[in-house]
Amino acid sequence: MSLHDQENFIKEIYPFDKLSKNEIATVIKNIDIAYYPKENILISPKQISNSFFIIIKGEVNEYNNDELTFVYHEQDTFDADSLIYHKTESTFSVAKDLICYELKKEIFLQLMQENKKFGKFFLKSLSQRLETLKNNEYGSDISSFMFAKVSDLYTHKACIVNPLMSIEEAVKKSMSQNTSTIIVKREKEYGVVTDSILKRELLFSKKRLDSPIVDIAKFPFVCVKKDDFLFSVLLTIVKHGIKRVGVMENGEVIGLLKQADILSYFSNHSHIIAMKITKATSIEELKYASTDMNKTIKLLYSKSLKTEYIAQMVAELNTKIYEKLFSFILPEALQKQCTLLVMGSEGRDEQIIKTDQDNALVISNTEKAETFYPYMKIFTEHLISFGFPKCEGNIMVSNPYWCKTESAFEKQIDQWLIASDIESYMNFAIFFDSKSVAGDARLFTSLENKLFEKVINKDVFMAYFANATLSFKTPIGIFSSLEDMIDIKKGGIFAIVHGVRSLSLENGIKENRTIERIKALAKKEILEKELAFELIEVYGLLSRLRLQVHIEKLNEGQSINNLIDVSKLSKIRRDMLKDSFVIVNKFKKFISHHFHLDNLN
Amino acid sequence: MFEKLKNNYQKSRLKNDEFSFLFDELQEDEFVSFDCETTGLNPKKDEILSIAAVKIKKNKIELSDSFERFIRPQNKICQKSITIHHIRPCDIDDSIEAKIAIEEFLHFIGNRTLIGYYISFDIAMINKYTKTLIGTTIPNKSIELSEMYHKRYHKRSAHEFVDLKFDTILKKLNLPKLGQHDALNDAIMSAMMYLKLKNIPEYKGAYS
Repeated sequence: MSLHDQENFIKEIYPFDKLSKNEIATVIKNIDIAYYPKENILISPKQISNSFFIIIKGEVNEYNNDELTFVYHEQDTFDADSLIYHKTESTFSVAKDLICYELKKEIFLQLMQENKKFGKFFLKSLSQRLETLKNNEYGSDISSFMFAKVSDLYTHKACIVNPLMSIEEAVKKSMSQNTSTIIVKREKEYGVVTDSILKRELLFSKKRLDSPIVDIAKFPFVCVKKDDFLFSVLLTIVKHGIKRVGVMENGEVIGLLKQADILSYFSNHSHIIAMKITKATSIEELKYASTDMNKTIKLLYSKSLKTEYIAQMVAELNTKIYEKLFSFILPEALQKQCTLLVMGSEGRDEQIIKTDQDNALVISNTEKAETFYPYMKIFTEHLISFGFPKCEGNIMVSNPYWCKTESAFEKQIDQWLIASDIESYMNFAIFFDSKSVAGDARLFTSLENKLFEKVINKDVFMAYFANATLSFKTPIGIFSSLEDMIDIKKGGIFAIVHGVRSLSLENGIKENRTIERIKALAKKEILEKELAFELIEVYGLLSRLRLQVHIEKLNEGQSINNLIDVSKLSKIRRDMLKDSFVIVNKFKKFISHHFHLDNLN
Repeated sequence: MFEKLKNNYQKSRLKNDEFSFLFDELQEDEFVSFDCETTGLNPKKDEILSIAAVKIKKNKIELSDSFERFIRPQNKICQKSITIHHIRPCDIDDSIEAKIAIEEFLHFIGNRTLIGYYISFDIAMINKYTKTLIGTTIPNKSIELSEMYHKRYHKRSAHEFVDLKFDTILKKLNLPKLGQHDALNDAIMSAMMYLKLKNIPEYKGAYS
């Protein structure tokens, strides 16, 4: 008993969980509980505290020059920096009546020295700390790899026949089902007839074609359960020296799994869907492959694959679909006379769960745009049936506004540049994020070059364009009332994407992905290395959280939006989110300074 | 006047000079929140099983200097008190004689004002031991938390019943509950109540 409860409270707080039993005991021996009513100042540049604070209950705001920069809650701790460096630029003030532990400064610093893991956490920069938290939360890739289950995999259809069917009939049936494996069901057990068994029995043992299939079947057919772990299936296959196993559900075989499927899963699991797309010979088949996409995304997500890679994988698969559909719909002669663009988030390879389609067609000046209208109308209809949601703003090839000749687009760009309404800025932004996915890509390259030329020395336009970065407030203060929902796109992602887009447009950067753009900007020394690194971390993290939200909504059958319920997040994720918004704000300030936005607002 | 008289009387009864500090001039800014776990609710018959206390200085509860002792009971621990306090016979293996515990307790509290929830009972329990040990009851001033809370409660009518249960007060004051009730947790939670209540003005409304 005794101080057990205090111990438990503190041990749960990262990185106090890294402390040994003795070290925790030291903490307990040197800790007091303090109470501060609202509006008390705990730490300020003039008055550095001699304690490290751990919140038991209440809320504390951190201000930097009167600007709210952070909100601390239950289980949050502060402020290591001022203890380590003996100075601070921040003021910590109580926002809601505070009950907290106060750990003596000497003890805190002593623990930092004694316990490297504990100490390191507080010495790290914000982005490094974010990474530590992230690793703590998501673990390494390998572990989740091992937890994949049979049901995560595409299983082949099984051709199941009754034992008395003739060999000839059974083979015919299997061929009609496009499989070479025949499964024989004899009462409650299963046997198998493979190609090699057929060869042996028919060619060498001269078995008659009209004898019952059960005579040549091999019993038992090794089966696994639908919810078995994949790696244990792999072990089964190796152990029995077999090439395929049956997949069972409720005692019935429901499909087959081949050795190659499992091996390729552990190397590259999206090949199945890619194969389906490539093999598709009709729009129907293409649609089938396309609707499988969300399953693949969930799988990749569950394996903790980096969100950036999932996005790239999805973008590649989608490109394959566009290409194929394009070739099915457009007459061959016309295919070379235009190029299909995907724009906005798809153009940046950043749309994972389909939320919107933005696309356009750039047509060679030698052709008439009208010729393409009927095909593009069909194109959009099919995309919608494939599960690409209709664009509410009608930014789709079926809309003549987005289906134009090269010179018409050039005029359009000029109009966007002189118009001063939000819609024109956003159209310009979406178009800037374009990527050619089918047809003659050169048609877009020349347009893109002109686009960069046109914005040179257009400082006023660039300022208004970049100004959208500040459209939404960063939800730093929202953590004060935990029931609130945060729009993760408005709150963070949009500011990063648009700020980076503005800088890229200004500096002729042709990369289309936000992360690649940030790297290119850092290389050109437009962004400081540290800020670039932080932005990449934060962008990755916010994208992952957004994907998580999307997948949850998908699983619950709700419509997709970007709202995160902060109260449902784990403490670590909440911390990561809070740290992220601090960096988003830092970036907004940079953009504001860079484009002289103070002159506008 | 009466208090001084009582104080002098108690002091005259003191048979052990070691404890004369109990009668020193009061330290105004230091308090002790304390709680006892007992075998029952009758100070005459029942015994103390554990005592815990924490000092309060200004706005701080000195957890780093907390007091907690388990006392070996004279009689066997009855089943009922085991279920209340979760103190099993085996838990009091590191327990000590009541005499030592009470003496150490007196040294810990000094002449500070005592704070507690239904504190008269706890003081009565302590006095039961001090009467034989040092010849007198303890002279310390005390603050009753339920009363402090009641004075700050906004009644909506003259007949409104004010719920004074420990957990209710804790909840109403928006204070955290620290694990299960044991002497130390209760002493800490009482100290938190005190710090919070101290910052709330007394209610002088129509139905106070």
